[in-house]
Amino acid sequence: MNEHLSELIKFIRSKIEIGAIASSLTAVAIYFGNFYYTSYFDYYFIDSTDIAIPISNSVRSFLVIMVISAVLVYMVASVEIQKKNSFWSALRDNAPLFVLLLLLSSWAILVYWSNVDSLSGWLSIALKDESMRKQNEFATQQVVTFLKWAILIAPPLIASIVVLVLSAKKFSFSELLMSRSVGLRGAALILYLFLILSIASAFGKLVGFLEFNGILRKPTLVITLTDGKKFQEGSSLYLLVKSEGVFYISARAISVDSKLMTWQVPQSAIKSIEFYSETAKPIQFPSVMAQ
Amino acid sequence: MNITIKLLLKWTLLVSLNAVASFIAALLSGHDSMIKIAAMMAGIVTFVLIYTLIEAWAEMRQMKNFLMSLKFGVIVKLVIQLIPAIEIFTGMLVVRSIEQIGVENEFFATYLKTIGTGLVLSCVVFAITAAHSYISGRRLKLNASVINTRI
Repeated sequence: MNEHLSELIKFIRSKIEIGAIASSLTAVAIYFGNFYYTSYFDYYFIDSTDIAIPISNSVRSFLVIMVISAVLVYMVASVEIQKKNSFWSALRDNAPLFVLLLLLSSWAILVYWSNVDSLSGWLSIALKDESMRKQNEFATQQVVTFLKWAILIAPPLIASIVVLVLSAKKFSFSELLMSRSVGLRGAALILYLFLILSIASAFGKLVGFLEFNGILRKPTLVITLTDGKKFQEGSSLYLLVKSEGVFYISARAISVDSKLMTWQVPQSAIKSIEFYSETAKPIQFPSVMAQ
Repeated sequence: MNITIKLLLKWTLLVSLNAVASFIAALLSGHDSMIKIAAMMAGIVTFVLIYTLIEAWAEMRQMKNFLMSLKFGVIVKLVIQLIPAIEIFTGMLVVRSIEQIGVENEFFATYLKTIGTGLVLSCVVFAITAAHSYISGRRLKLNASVINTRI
Protein backbone atom coordinates (compact mmCIF):
# COMPACT_ATOMS: atom_id res chain seq x y z
CA MET A 1 0.00 0.00 0.00
CA ASN A 2 2.80 2.37 1.00
CA GLU A 3 4.68 1.50 -2.19
CA HIS A 4 1.66 2.39 -4.31
CA LEU A 5 1.19 5.65 -2.42
CA SER A 6 4.82 6.72 -2.80
CA GLU A 7 4.68 5.90 -6.53
CA LEU A 8 1.52 7.94 -6.86
CA ILE A 9 3.10 10.87 -5.03
CA LYS A 10 6.21 10.63 -7.26
CA PHE A 11 4.03 10.61 -10.38
CA ILE A 12 1.94 13.60 -9.26
CA ARG A 13 5.06 15.54 -8.22
CA SER A 14 6.73 14.96 -11.57
CA LYS A 15 3.60 16.22 -13.37
CA ILE A 16 3.43 19.26 -11.09
CA GLU A 17 7.13 20.00 -11.72
CA ILE A 18 6.67 19.69 -15.48
CA GLY A 19 3.58 21.89 -15.26
CA ALA A 20 5.43 24.49 -13.19
CA ILE A 21 8.35 24.62 -15.65
CA ALA A 22 6.00 24.80 -18.64
CA SER A 23 3.90 27.57 -17.12
CA SER A 24 7.03 29.53 -16.06
CA LEU A 25 8.41 29.26 -19.59
CA THR A 26 5.06 30.30 -21.04
CA ALA A 27 4.89 33.29 -18.67
CA VAL A 28 8.42 34.35 -19.67
CA ALA A 29 7.54 33.89 -23.35
CA ILE A 30 4.35 35.95 -22.96
CA TYR A 31 6.23 38.68 -21.06
CA PHE A 32 8.93 39.03 -23.71
CA GLY A 33 6.57 38.41 -26.63
CA ASN A 34 4.32 41.21 -25.39
CA PHE A 35 7.19 43.69 -25.79
CA TYR A 36 6.46 43.72 -29.54
CA TYR A 37 2.69 44.06 -29.22
CA THR A 38 2.86 46.76 -26.56
CA SER A 39 5.06 48.95 -28.76
CA TYR A 40 2.91 48.15 -31.85
CA PHE A 41 -0.22 49.40 -30.11
CA ASP A 42 1.73 52.31 -28.58
CA TYR A 43 2.49 53.53 -32.09
CA TYR A 44 -1.24 53.76 -32.73
CA PHE A 45 -1.87 55.40 -29.32
CA ILE A 46 -3.83 52.35 -28.14
CA ASP A 47 -3.54 51.22 -24.54
CA SER A 48 -2.48 47.59 -24.95
CA THR A 49 -4.03 46.66 -21.60
CA ASP A 50 -7.42 46.97 -23.37
CA ILE A 51 -6.38 44.43 -26.01
CA ALA A 52 -6.48 40.68 -25.45
CA ILE A 53 -3.30 39.51 -27.20
CA PRO A 54 -3.50 35.79 -28.05
CA ILE A 55 -0.96 33.80 -26.06
CA SER A 56 0.14 32.01 -29.23
CA ASN A 57 1.18 35.35 -30.81
CA SER A 58 3.33 36.33 -27.82
CA VAL A 59 4.89 32.88 -27.58
CA ARG A 60 5.61 32.97 -31.33
CA SER A 61 7.44 36.31 -30.98
CA PHE A 62 9.48 34.92 -28.10
CA LEU A 63 10.30 31.74 -30.05
CA VAL A 64 11.56 33.81 -33.00
CA ILE A 65 13.95 35.63 -30.64
CA MET A 66 15.05 32.33 -29.04
CA VAL A 67 15.69 30.59 -32.36
CA ILE A 68 17.72 33.52 -33.74
CA SER A 69 19.72 33.70 -30.50
CA ALA A 70 20.37 29.92 -30.47
CA VAL A 71 21.59 30.01 -34.09
CA LEU A 72 23.95 32.91 -33.37
CA VAL A 73 25.38 31.27 -30.24
CA TYR A 74 25.91 28.05 -32.21
CA MET A 75 27.68 29.95 -35.01
CA VAL A 76 30.06 31.58 -32.51
CA ALA A 77 30.66 28.42 -30.47
CA SER A 78 31.31 26.19 -33.50
CA VAL A 79 34.14 28.35 -34.91
CA GLU A 80 37.56 26.76 -35.36
CA ILE A 81 40.20 28.80 -33.59
CA GLN A 82 43.54 29.42 -35.35
CA LYS A 83 42.38 28.11 -38.69
CA LYS A 84 43.45 29.89 -41.89
CA ASN A 85 40.70 32.33 -42.80
CA SER A 86 39.40 33.04 -46.27
CA PHE A 87 36.99 35.87 -47.12
CA TRP A 88 34.04 33.46 -47.12
CA SER A 89 34.92 31.74 -43.84
CA ALA A 90 35.47 35.16 -42.23
CA LEU A 91 32.10 36.32 -43.62
CA ARG A 92 30.37 33.31 -42.08
CA ASP A 93 32.18 33.89 -38.77
CA ASN A 94 31.15 37.57 -38.84
CA ALA A 95 27.41 36.84 -39.22
CA PRO A 96 26.89 37.25 -35.43
CA LEU A 97 28.76 40.57 -35.68
CA PHE A 98 26.38 41.63 -38.46
CA VAL A 99 23.40 40.94 -36.19
CA LEU A 100 25.07 42.72 -33.26
CA LEU A 101 25.86 45.81 -35.36
CA LEU A 102 22.34 45.79 -36.81
CA LEU A 103 20.89 45.81 -33.30
CA LEU A 104 23.44 48.33 -31.94
CA SER A 105 22.92 50.87 -34.73
CA SER A 106 19.12 50.48 -34.49
CA TRP A 107 19.33 50.99 -30.72
CA ALA A 108 21.56 54.09 -31.19
CA ILE A 109 19.04 55.64 -33.60
CA LEU A 110 16.17 54.86 -31.21
CA VAL A 111 18.04 56.50 -28.30
CA TYR A 112 18.76 59.55 -30.46
CA TRP A 113 15.10 59.66 -31.53
CA SER A 114 13.84 59.58 -27.96
CA ASN A 115 16.35 62.33 -27.01
CA VAL A 116 15.13 64.45 -29.94
CA ASP A 117 11.54 64.05 -28.69
CA SER A 118 12.61 65.02 -25.14
CA LEU A 119 14.58 68.05 -26.35
CA SER A 120 11.71 69.18 -28.58
CA GLY A 121 9.27 68.83 -25.67
CA TRP A 122 11.58 70.84 -23.41
CA LEU A 123 12.07 73.56 -26.04
CA SER A 124 8.33 73.89 -26.68
CA ILE A 125 7.92 74.69 -22.96
CA ALA A 126 11.04 76.87 -22.61
CA LEU A 127 10.61 78.98 -25.76
CA LYS A 128 8.32 81.96 -25.29
CA ASP A 129 8.56 83.33 -28.83
CA GLU A 130 5.80 81.89 -31.08
CA SER A 131 7.94 81.89 -34.23
CA MET A 132 10.75 80.01 -32.43
CA ARG A 133 8.24 77.43 -31.19
CA LYS A 134 6.95 76.91 -34.72
CA GLN A 135 10.55 76.60 -35.94
CA ASN A 136 11.17 74.00 -33.24
CA GLU A 137 8.06 72.03 -34.29
CA PHE A 138 9.01 72.14 -37.95
CA ALA A 139 12.63 71.13 -37.26
CA THR A 140 11.49 68.25 -35.00
CA GLN A 141 9.10 66.98 -37.66
CA GLN A 142 11.89 67.04 -40.25
CA VAL A 143 14.33 65.23 -37.99
CA VAL A 144 11.76 62.59 -36.95
CA THR A 145 10.79 61.93 -40.58
CA PHE A 146 14.47 61.51 -41.39
CA LEU A 147 14.99 59.17 -38.41
CA LYS A 148 12.02 56.98 -39.40
CA TRP A 149 13.70 56.28 -42.72
CA ALA A 150 17.20 56.18 -41.22
CA ILE A 151 16.22 53.35 -38.86
CA LEU A 152 15.24 51.25 -41.89
CA ILE A 153 18.24 52.03 -44.08
CA ALA A 154 21.20 52.86 -41.82
CA PRO A 155 21.50 49.71 -39.63
CA PRO A 156 21.71 47.15 -42.48
CA LEU A 157 23.97 49.51 -44.43
CA ILE A 158 26.37 50.12 -41.53
CA ALA A 159 26.41 46.43 -40.53
CA SER A 160 27.00 45.30 -44.14
CA ILE A 161 29.85 47.74 -44.76
CA VAL A 162 31.64 46.91 -41.50
CA VAL A 163 31.26 43.14 -41.95
CA LEU A 164 32.37 43.22 -45.60
CA VAL A 165 35.43 45.34 -44.78
CA LEU A 166 36.41 43.14 -41.82
CA SER A 167 35.82 39.94 -43.82
CA ALA A 168 37.98 41.30 -46.65
CA LYS A 169 40.73 41.77 -44.04
CA LYS A 170 40.07 38.11 -43.00
CA PHE A 171 39.05 39.20 -39.49
CA SER A 172 36.83 36.66 -37.71
CA PHE A 173 34.60 38.04 -34.93
CA SER A 174 33.57 34.57 -33.71
CA GLU A 175 37.21 33.50 -33.46
CA LEU A 176 38.06 36.67 -31.51
CA LEU A 177 35.18 36.05 -29.10
CA MET A 178 35.97 32.36 -28.54
CA SER A 179 39.67 33.07 -27.92
CA ARG A 180 38.77 35.51 -25.10
CA SER A 181 37.76 34.79 -21.51
CA VAL A 182 34.38 33.41 -20.46
CA GLY A 183 33.64 36.76 -18.80
CA LEU A 184 34.00 38.66 -22.07
CA ARG A 185 31.82 36.14 -23.90
CA GLY A 186 29.23 36.45 -21.16
CA ALA A 187 29.34 40.25 -21.47
CA ALA A 188 28.84 39.97 -25.25
CA LEU A 189 25.84 37.67 -24.70
CA ILE A 190 24.29 40.05 -22.14
CA LEU A 191 24.80 42.98 -24.54
CA TYR A 192 23.13 40.98 -27.33
CA LEU A 193 20.15 40.02 -25.11
CA PHE A 194 19.71 43.62 -23.95
CA LEU A 195 19.81 44.90 -27.53
CA ILE A 196 17.46 42.28 -28.94
CA LEU A 197 14.87 42.88 -26.22
CA SER A 198 15.11 46.66 -26.73
CA ILE A 199 14.73 46.26 -30.47
CA ALA A 200 11.90 43.71 -30.11
CA SER A 201 9.94 46.34 -28.25
CA ALA A 202 10.77 48.97 -30.87
CA PHE A 203 10.03 46.56 -33.73
CA GLY A 204 6.34 46.95 -33.02
CA LYS A 205 6.57 50.70 -33.67
CA LEU A 206 8.54 50.03 -36.83
CA VAL A 207 5.84 47.69 -38.16
CA GLY A 208 3.22 50.30 -37.28
CA PHE A 209 5.19 52.93 -39.16
CA LEU A 210 5.52 50.69 -42.21
CA GLU A 211 1.78 49.94 -42.18
CA PHE A 212 0.88 53.62 -41.79
CA ASN A 213 3.07 54.54 -44.77
CA GLY A 214 1.63 51.74 -46.89
CA ILE A 215 4.90 49.80 -47.17
CA LEU A 216 3.46 46.82 -45.31
CA ARG A 217 0.03 46.46 -46.87
CA LYS A 218 -2.96 45.18 -44.96
CA PRO A 219 -6.30 44.77 -46.74
CA THR A 220 -8.15 48.06 -47.10
CA LEU A 221 -11.51 48.34 -45.33
CA VAL A 222 -14.75 49.99 -46.34
CA ILE A 223 -17.02 50.18 -43.29
CA THR A 224 -20.73 50.87 -43.63
CA LEU A 225 -22.32 52.02 -40.38
CA THR A 226 -25.82 51.13 -39.23
CA ASP A 227 -27.08 54.58 -40.32
CA GLY A 228 -26.02 53.78 -43.91
CA LYS A 229 -23.06 56.17 -43.98
CA LYS A 230 -19.53 55.08 -44.87
CA PHE A 231 -17.08 55.43 -41.98
CA GLN A 232 -14.27 57.91 -42.87
CA GLU A 233 -15.21 57.80 -46.56
CA GLY A 234 -12.25 58.52 -48.84
CA SER A 235 -9.64 57.32 -46.35
CA SER A 236 -7.59 54.20 -46.93
CA LEU A 237 -8.62 52.36 -43.75
CA TYR A 238 -7.10 49.18 -42.39
CA LEU A 239 -7.82 46.98 -39.41
CA LEU A 240 -5.35 46.92 -36.54
CA VAL A 241 -7.09 44.45 -34.28
CA LYS A 242 -10.53 43.38 -33.14
CA SER A 243 -10.88 42.94 -29.41
CA GLU A 244 -13.95 42.44 -27.22
CA GLY A 245 -16.46 43.71 -29.73
CA VAL A 246 -14.42 46.77 -30.76
CA PHE A 247 -12.65 47.26 -34.10
CA TYR A 248 -9.47 49.33 -33.90
CA ILE A 249 -9.02 51.07 -37.25
CA SER A 250 -6.38 53.38 -38.70
CA ALA A 251 -5.95 55.21 -42.01
CA ARG A 252 -2.88 55.12 -44.23
CA ALA A 253 -0.85 58.26 -44.86
CA ILE A 254 -1.64 60.03 -48.13
CA SER A 255 1.21 62.57 -47.85
CA VAL A 256 4.31 63.28 -45.76
CA ASP A 257 2.25 65.59 -43.50
CA SER A 258 -0.54 63.09 -42.85
CA LYS A 259 -1.39 62.73 -39.17
CA LEU A 260 -1.74 59.29 -37.64
CA MET A 261 -5.31 58.66 -36.52
CA THR A 262 -6.85 55.65 -34.82
CA TRP A 263 -10.53 54.95 -34.23
CA GLN A 264 -12.35 52.52 -32.00
CA VAL A 265 -15.51 51.41 -33.75
CA PRO A 266 -17.90 49.22 -31.73
CA GLN A 267 -19.25 46.22 -33.57
CA SER A 268 -22.80 47.29 -32.73
CA ALA A 269 -22.39 50.45 -34.85
CA ILE A 270 -21.23 48.56 -37.96
CA LYS A 271 -23.59 47.28 -40.63
CA SER A 272 -20.92 45.68 -42.87
CA ILE A 273 -17.20 45.63 -43.55
CA GLU A 274 -15.66 45.06 -46.98
CA PHE A 275 -12.03 43.99 -47.24
CA TYR A 276 -10.09 44.93 -50.37
CA SER A 277 -6.78 43.30 -51.16
CA GLU A 278 -4.37 44.86 -53.72
CA THR A 279 -5.17 42.74 -56.75
CA ALA A 280 -8.30 40.70 -55.88
CA LYS A 281 -11.91 41.87 -56.19
CA PRO A 282 -13.63 43.16 -53.05
CA ILE A 283 -14.84 40.41 -50.74
CA GLN A 284 -17.76 40.98 -48.39
CA PHE A 285 -17.71 39.46 -44.92
CA PRO A 286 -21.13 39.99 -43.39
CA SER A 287 -20.34 36.97 -41.23
CA VAL A 288 -17.76 39.16 -39.43
CA MET A 289 -20.77 40.71 -37.65
CA ALA A 290 -21.81 37.31 -36.33
CA GLN A 291 -18.53 36.87 -34.37
CA MET B 1 56.77 63.02 -37.43
CA ASN B 2 55.60 59.79 -39.00
CA ILE B 3 52.27 60.31 -40.81
CA THR B 4 51.12 57.04 -42.35
CA ILE B 5 48.12 56.18 -44.53
CA LYS B 6 46.84 53.99 -41.69
CA LEU B 7 46.89 56.97 -39.30
CA LEU B 8 45.07 59.16 -41.84
CA LEU B 9 42.42 56.47 -42.43
CA LYS B 10 41.96 56.01 -38.68
CA TRP B 11 41.27 59.71 -38.11
CA THR B 12 39.13 59.92 -41.26
CA LEU B 13 36.90 57.26 -39.73
CA LEU B 14 36.87 58.71 -36.19
CA VAL B 15 36.32 62.36 -37.23
CA SER B 16 33.64 61.39 -39.78
CA LEU B 17 31.76 59.30 -37.22
CA ASN B 18 31.94 62.18 -34.73
CA ALA B 19 30.64 64.62 -37.35
CA VAL B 20 27.66 62.49 -38.49
CA ALA B 21 24.99 64.03 -36.23
CA SER B 22 26.06 67.65 -36.90
CA PHE B 23 26.38 66.96 -40.65
CA ILE B 24 22.87 65.53 -40.89
CA ALA B 25 21.45 68.32 -38.71
CA ALA B 26 23.07 70.85 -41.06
CA LEU B 27 21.61 69.12 -44.13
CA LEU B 28 18.13 69.08 -42.60
CA SER B 29 18.35 72.77 -41.63
CA GLY B 30 18.89 73.94 -45.20
CA HIS B 31 22.66 73.61 -45.68
CA ASP B 32 22.07 71.17 -48.52
CA SER B 33 23.42 72.91 -51.62
CA MET B 34 26.51 71.43 -53.31
CA ILE B 35 28.67 74.41 -52.26
CA LYS B 36 27.65 74.08 -48.61
CA ILE B 37 28.16 70.31 -48.60
CA ALA B 38 31.62 70.78 -50.17
CA ALA B 39 32.45 73.40 -47.51
CA MET B 40 31.34 71.09 -44.69
CA MET B 41 33.42 68.21 -46.13
CA ALA B 42 36.41 70.57 -46.37
CA GLY B 43 35.91 71.41 -42.70
CA ILE B 44 35.81 67.72 -41.77
CA VAL B 45 39.00 67.06 -43.79
CA THR B 46 40.66 69.95 -41.90
CA PHE B 47 39.94 68.24 -38.60
CA VAL B 48 41.13 64.87 -39.95
CA LEU B 49 44.47 66.52 -40.74
CA ILE B 50 44.61 68.31 -37.35
CA TYR B 51 43.98 65.13 -35.34
CA THR B 52 46.39 63.14 -37.51
CA LEU B 53 49.10 65.73 -36.83
CA ILE B 54 48.30 65.69 -33.09
CA GLU B 55 48.68 61.91 -32.92
CA ALA B 56 51.86 61.91 -35.03
CA TRP B 57 53.34 64.60 -32.75
CA ALA B 58 52.35 62.69 -29.59
CA GLU B 59 53.78 59.43 -30.99
CA MET B 60 57.06 61.18 -31.79
CA ARG B 61 57.27 62.35 -28.14
CA GLN B 62 56.12 58.89 -26.93
CA MET B 63 53.17 60.34 -25.01
CA LYS B 64 51.37 57.00 -24.63
CA ASN B 65 49.11 58.11 -21.78
CA PHE B 66 47.95 61.15 -23.76
CA LEU B 67 47.21 59.02 -26.84
CA MET B 68 45.19 56.54 -24.80
CA SER B 69 43.23 59.39 -23.20
CA LEU B 70 42.66 61.05 -26.60
CA LYS B 71 41.25 57.80 -28.00
CA PHE B 72 39.00 57.54 -24.94
CA GLY B 73 37.85 61.16 -25.35
CA VAL B 74 37.01 60.71 -29.03
CA ILE B 75 35.02 57.53 -28.37
CA VAL B 76 33.10 59.09 -25.48
CA LYS B 77 32.30 62.12 -27.69
CA LEU B 78 31.07 59.67 -30.34
CA VAL B 79 28.61 58.18 -27.84
CA ILE B 80 27.60 61.65 -26.57
CA GLN B 81 26.28 62.37 -30.08
CA LEU B 82 23.21 60.40 -28.99
CA ILE B 83 22.35 63.46 -26.87
CA PRO B 84 21.31 65.91 -29.61
CA ALA B 85 21.17 68.93 -27.28
CA ILE B 86 24.97 69.34 -27.23
CA GLU B 87 25.39 69.25 -31.02
CA ILE B 88 22.32 71.39 -31.67
CA PHE B 89 23.19 74.15 -29.19
CA THR B 90 26.81 74.20 -30.33
CA GLY B 91 25.74 74.40 -33.94
CA MET B 92 23.17 77.13 -33.28
CA LEU B 93 25.67 79.20 -31.27
CA VAL B 94 28.39 79.01 -33.94
CA VAL B 95 26.03 79.55 -36.89
CA ARG B 96 24.55 82.68 -35.27
CA SER B 97 28.04 84.04 -34.46
CA ILE B 98 29.27 83.53 -38.03
CA GLU B 99 26.06 85.04 -39.45
CA GLN B 100 26.57 88.13 -37.26
CA ILE B 101 30.09 88.56 -38.65
CA GLY B 102 28.47 88.69 -42.10
CA VAL B 103 30.68 86.56 -44.35
CA GLU B 104 29.29 86.87 -47.88
CA ASN B 105 31.02 84.00 -49.62
CA GLU B 106 28.73 80.95 -49.19
CA PHE B 107 31.58 78.38 -49.23
CA PHE B 108 33.74 80.31 -46.77
CA ALA B 109 30.83 81.04 -44.41
CA THR B 110 29.84 77.36 -44.27
CA TYR B 111 33.50 76.34 -43.88
CA LEU B 112 33.86 78.73 -40.91
CA LYS B 113 30.64 77.38 -39.35
CA THR B 114 32.00 73.81 -39.67
CA ILE B 115 35.39 74.77 -38.21
CA GLY B 116 33.72 76.73 -35.40
CA THR B 117 31.41 73.85 -34.47
CA GLY B 118 34.31 71.41 -34.70
CA LEU B 119 36.48 73.58 -32.44
CA VAL B 120 33.81 73.81 -29.73
CA LEU B 121 33.19 70.05 -29.89
CA SER B 122 36.96 69.41 -29.87
CA CYS B 123 37.06 71.34 -26.58
CA VAL B 124 34.60 68.73 -25.27
CA VAL B 125 36.92 65.97 -26.55
CA PHE B 126 39.96 67.56 -24.91
CA ALA B 127 38.09 68.10 -21.64
CA ILE B 128 37.27 64.37 -21.53
CA THR B 129 40.87 63.58 -22.58
CA ALA B 130 42.27 65.75 -19.77
CA ALA B 131 39.95 64.15 -17.20
CA HIS B 132 40.90 60.63 -18.32
CA SER B 133 44.61 61.51 -18.38
CA TYR B 134 44.41 62.96 -14.85
CA ILE B 135 42.52 59.96 -13.44
CA SER B 136 44.78 57.37 -15.11
CA GLY B 137 47.85 59.36 -13.96
CA ARG B 138 46.58 59.35 -10.37
CA ARG B 139 45.86 55.62 -10.59
CA LEU B 140 49.42 54.93 -11.85
CA LYS B 141 50.89 56.98 -8.99
CA LEU B 142 48.69 55.13 -6.48
CA ASN B 143 49.77 51.74 -7.86
CA ALA B 144 53.43 52.83 -7.77
CA SER B 145 53.14 53.94 -4.12
CA VAL B 146 51.45 50.62 -3.18
CA ILE B 147 54.30 48.68 -4.82
CA ASN B 148 56.91 50.83 -3.03
CA THR B 149 55.16 50.22 0.31
CA ARG B 150 55.18 46.44 -0.26
CA ILE B 151 58.92 46.49 -1.12
